[in-house]
This record gives sequence, C-alpha cells and structure tokens, in this order.
Amino acid sequence: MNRLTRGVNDFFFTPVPLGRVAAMRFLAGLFVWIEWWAYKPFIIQHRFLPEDLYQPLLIGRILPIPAPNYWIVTGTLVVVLASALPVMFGYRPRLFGWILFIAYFEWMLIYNSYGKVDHASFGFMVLLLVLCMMPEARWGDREHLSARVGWGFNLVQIAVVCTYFLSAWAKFRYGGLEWANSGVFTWAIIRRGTVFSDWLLEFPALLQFAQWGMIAFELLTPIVLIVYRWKKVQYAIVAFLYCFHIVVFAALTISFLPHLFAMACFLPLERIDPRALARKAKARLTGRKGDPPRDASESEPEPAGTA
Amino acid sequence: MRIAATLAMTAALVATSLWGTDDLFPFAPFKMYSHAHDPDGWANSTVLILVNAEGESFPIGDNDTGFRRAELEGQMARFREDPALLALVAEAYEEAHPDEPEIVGAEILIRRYELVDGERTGAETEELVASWTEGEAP
Repeated sequence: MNRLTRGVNDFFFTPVPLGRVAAMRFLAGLFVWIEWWAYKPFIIQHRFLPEDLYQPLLIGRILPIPAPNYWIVTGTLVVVLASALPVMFGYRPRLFGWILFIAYFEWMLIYNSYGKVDHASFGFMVLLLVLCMMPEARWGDREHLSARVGWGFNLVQIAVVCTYFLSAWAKFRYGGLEWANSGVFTWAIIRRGTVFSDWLLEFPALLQFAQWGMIAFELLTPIVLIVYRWKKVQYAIVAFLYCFHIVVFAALTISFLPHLFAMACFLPLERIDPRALARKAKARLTGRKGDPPRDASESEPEPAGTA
Repeated sequence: MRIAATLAMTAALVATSLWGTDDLFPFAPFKMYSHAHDPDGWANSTVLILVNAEGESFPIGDNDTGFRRAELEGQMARFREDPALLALVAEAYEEAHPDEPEIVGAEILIRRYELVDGERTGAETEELVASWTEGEAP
C-alpha cells in the first residue's frame, strides 16, 4: 500500500524546476503570436462571415456568448496578443495568464463554430490553464522545485497523450475496424498531398501498412507517461513524436502546431538560460576575455535541441 | 484534489470519445482522419467557385473568406437545401476583398476520383451541389 501511494505521488507530483515554467510561458505566448497570421490565418478571416454561417457549439449556446462579428473577432485577437506579451516575459504571469486563457478560449470558439471542429488544440488549452496556476518563475531556475508545477505539466502531458490514444479509438468508432485497410491515406493525399507524398499514391499497399503502423503507434503512446522515471527513454519517445509530426507535415501540410508546443513540457527546458547563453556568446565575441567560469551544471541544454 | 482534477479531465476526454460529439468542445472525440475510405470507391474533393461581375470564375481557398472547405463540408446539407446561402459566402468574400469586382455567382462542386485498390484510375466525375446567382435573395 505504501509503495502504491508513493507511486501515485511520484506519477502526479514529481517536482519540476521552475525554470521550465518560464520557458513554457514564453513558448505559449510565442505560439499565440505565430498562430493568427502564419498558422491559422482563417480564424481572423472569420470576422467577415455573416452571422448566418455561425453554428454555435454547446458551450456557446449555454454561455451568453454573442455571435462573432468583425469587432468581436478583432477585439478577441487584440486581447489575446496583448495579454500574451506579459505572460511571455514573466510580468504578473498569473493575472495576464488568466486573461490570456479566457480570451484564447473565446478565440477557439470563433475558430470552431462554423461547421468544423479541429482537435489539435486541446493540450495547448490545458497548458494555458495550468500556467495560470503556477508561481512566478525565471529562466534557467533549476534550484526551486515545485510539486504543483509537476502536477500541472503532468496534466498537459496526459492531455497530449490522450490526443493520440483517443484518436486511435475515434478511428475504430467512426471508421470501424476496417479503417486500417481502407483508402484513408490515399484520400488524404489526394486532398492535401505535397511533392513529398504524391508519389505514394502509386503504392497503396505501403499506405495501408502505414495505416496499421499509425494505429499501433497511437495505441502505444501512453508508454511515454509510464516511463517518467527513465528520462532518457522519455526524451527519445518525445523526439520520435516530433519526427512523426515532421513527416506528417511534409506529406500533408498538417502540423498540429499547438499540440507540438504543449508537448514541449516533457523536455527539460529549465536547462535553457538565455541570460547565461547571452553572456557566453558575448564572452566569445569579445575574445574570451573575462569569460566567467561556469560550473558544469549550466552547460548547454542537449535534449531540448530535439524540439 | 489535484489527482481528482486530472482524473476528471481524463474521464471527460474518454467519455466524449466514447459517446460524445464535436458539439461538446473543448472535450470532443479526436476524430481527425478517423473515417474509413473504401479503397475501391471514390475519393472526393470539394471546390467552391465564385463568379465576379466581370465574368471571371475562380476557385477560392480557406483564407479568402475565412470559410474553410472543411466548414463548407460540415454545413453542406444546409447548402444543398438552400443554395441561396452561397450569397453569404459571396458577401464575406466582398467584405474581405473590397477592391475587387462584385461577386455575382457562386457554386459548390464535388470532384470525385475513382479508386481501385487504392490507386487512382484517372476516372473523375463532377457534381454540382449548389449554385447561386445574384438576384436570388438569401
């Protein structure tokens, strides 16, 4: 029993250094700044759509959320971007974090309320929520550990894994058992193929094999949570997941970018300290004069490079 | 308490994946590419074409109006029933492109490509799902 309690505690509350919180806040804000013009530019274009095309989701019908119009969409984006800045740089990150979370949620409702719901953002929304509950933090802080932070990132990680695992379930539910033998990848490439994937249309058997591989891989993703004690194994799996998304992006230009940002909380980002790196770079530029002796613990972040 | 929160989130995700629909966003089944497509059938691709006052017709993409192809497909039943709804899309296009000539017509086409053993045979068909020209009230 005692071992069980300890195991449960370890799983949910392994303390995580605060430096990772600062890094994740920066990444979260960075994504928000990239998304609206580079990743999902059509969301802001929704401001031109007449109300008749708006199909509110359940939550939009329960809460008194007005149908988006030009000013609601534009205003939501302004609030999202404005609140993201202080979050990124750690100025009153909890207050602005809540503003960001609420505004971003409305932004997601604008995104998903016109007849199609996308599913890449769940982990990212969880990330924005848990960042609101975490203490103030500075980059590169590896001394102060927090069980609350560990819990929060564990929640994001579970959301990330569910995105894979439950999407395998959805394939059984909507596609049936024959999904893996169907022509779904052919169909996807016909619709959104690229120079990297169009040639695959000639090899349908290979595509079907890939479909089996996809199911197997999605069902196996919970392993990444189970191996939390063996960090190297975990980082390797996360690196594999990033590679998977690079391949999918090359083939279909679907990137699941918010999901990728959320997944970064698996990585020891606390090892990155921009100030120390800047000092080092400066020292190198000025001919290594006055290069402050740094201890080994502040060496270059290696696994973070996989992101 | 915090463990309960984690379990609640996981349970909500699992439950919506088992029984839920997209309507329950942010909890929703993760159904990207989850539909099976018959390798001996037809693969389809929807095209939305606008016609402007100068008689030019052109297909539009997701960012031209903000109304994405997937959203159009999600609301396809409405457009089949009432093609005059295309006036709304035309309106959105004009709002987004104030310097371009007025839009006077729109149509939705579905192109279908025949597959045998997952390979394209080269056979294609086109279905006109809905069409609208200026003058019909939305």
